Amino acid sequence: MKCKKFKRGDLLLYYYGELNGVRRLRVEEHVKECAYCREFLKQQNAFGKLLDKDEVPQVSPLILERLNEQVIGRLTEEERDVPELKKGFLTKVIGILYYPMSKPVYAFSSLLVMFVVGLIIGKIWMGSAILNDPGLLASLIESRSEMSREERDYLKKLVAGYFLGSKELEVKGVKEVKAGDSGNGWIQVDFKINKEMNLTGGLDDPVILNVLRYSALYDRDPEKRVRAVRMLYLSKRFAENKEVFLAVLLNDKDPGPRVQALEAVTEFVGDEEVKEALKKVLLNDPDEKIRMQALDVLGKTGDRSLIPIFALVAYRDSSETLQMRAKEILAKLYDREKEKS
Amino acid sequence: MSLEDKSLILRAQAGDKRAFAELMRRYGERVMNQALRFTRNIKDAEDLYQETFLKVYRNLGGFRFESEFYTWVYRIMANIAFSQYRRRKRFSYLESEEDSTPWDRVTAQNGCPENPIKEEEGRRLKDAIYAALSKLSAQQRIVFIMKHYEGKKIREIAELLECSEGTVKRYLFRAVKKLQSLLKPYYEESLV
Repeated sequence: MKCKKFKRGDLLLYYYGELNGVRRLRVEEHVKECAYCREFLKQQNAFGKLLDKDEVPQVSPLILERLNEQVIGRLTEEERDVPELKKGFLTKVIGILYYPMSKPVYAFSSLLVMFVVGLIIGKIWMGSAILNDPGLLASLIESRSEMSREERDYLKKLVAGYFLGSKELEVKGVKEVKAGDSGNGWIQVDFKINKEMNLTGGLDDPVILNVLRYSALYDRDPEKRVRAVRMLYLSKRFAENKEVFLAVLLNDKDPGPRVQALEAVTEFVGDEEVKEALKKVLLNDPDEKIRMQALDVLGKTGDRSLIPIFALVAYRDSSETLQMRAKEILAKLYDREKEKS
Repeated sequence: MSLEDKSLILRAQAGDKRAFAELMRRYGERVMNQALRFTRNIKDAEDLYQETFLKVYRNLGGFRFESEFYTWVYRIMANIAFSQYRRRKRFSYLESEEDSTPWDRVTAQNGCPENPIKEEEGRRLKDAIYAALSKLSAQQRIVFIMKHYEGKKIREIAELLECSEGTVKRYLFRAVKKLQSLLKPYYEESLV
């Protein structure tokens, strides 16, 4: 009959000396009364004694010597395969590479970090690719149907502004949507960056103004340059556009834009830079009408310092009409001087 | 640890393989005895012996002289045995027909027995014990050897094998139960 007080495991722990204090005493007291447990321990003792007869055989020193030689041989071989200096470096590199894989949580974290880094690099790379590929950018803007008109226009302006200085942008046309002679007109600019687009904005819009300046200076079509200069003039921002006007006036190879630029600067003839530019136009512009226009503008100033210029025109200009006009202006200046004196 | 041992360990730590060879000569017998206890098979014991010393050399830089050198080596060997043979469940003895009598190769090195009858009885008993031990799983066997033959405390075994005390107890109880059922005819004789 089995004992219900102590389990087999408890008796084994007692046999192997794993019980201390009260627990040990309890078992000892119980064994005195319980025949089953006493028998179990008796058998356990006999079992132990049997196993004590077992002994581990002695291994020949020759075997040990052979094994030792093999161990040293393997160690030498390992070191020959990996030279000392490289061994340290390689061990470190392998250690570093292995470390993230040493535990599942590290491996998971490493994969997560790699994924996030990949996303960031991808985003930067894509952004860079888009900025360097106007066609892709234009397609992107056009294809985003979820964008509102305002958002699309805003993006277009950004794109136009970004590519303005490059050869990627071509201004196809400038339309005056709403006339305004005090700088409050409304303009539509058609442009092409691989793909044709248009954007609309007021004459106070910096992007629109930049597109107009770009068009005034670089557009291949003289009519477009004329239109751009006119729009800039209508913006009533002389100070900001002065350089463009003067550049067109002095350098444009077609008379149309130069005439338009001359008109734009006429009312600012008091400005020294404008006056200097008009003097150059008067003396050098190949177009007679333009020189005449410049002569009239300068003549109206009544500036005595311009007398030598007028004199040069009066005696050396290829056009007799201009000579006559210059002489008239000179005569007027003399008359005015006489009146004063 | 003797000063000589300490000097050898320091030299081996600096990469001196002759010093390491001397260490192996000094501790080799104890290590091999232990390997035989764990494996009960000369072939596996040789493998375990070599793996242990290779790992000892590779990790020698980490030995800080805080324990006896043999204790440190023993710990390494116990871990190798426990983890390597955990996968194999049984030592290779049973799988190899060549090694069906494991003591042959060992005793063959020591010449012929003086008393053939006594030797035969002892051999029969050893083989019975061996056969019984070989039927244990690797974990059961290593825990049983540590407890029964080496008298280690359960807490100590758990620490050495990096598992819980409950696990050690479970392996021990199962090992004893299985061995008793297999060896009952042998020790019951002494009870009558």
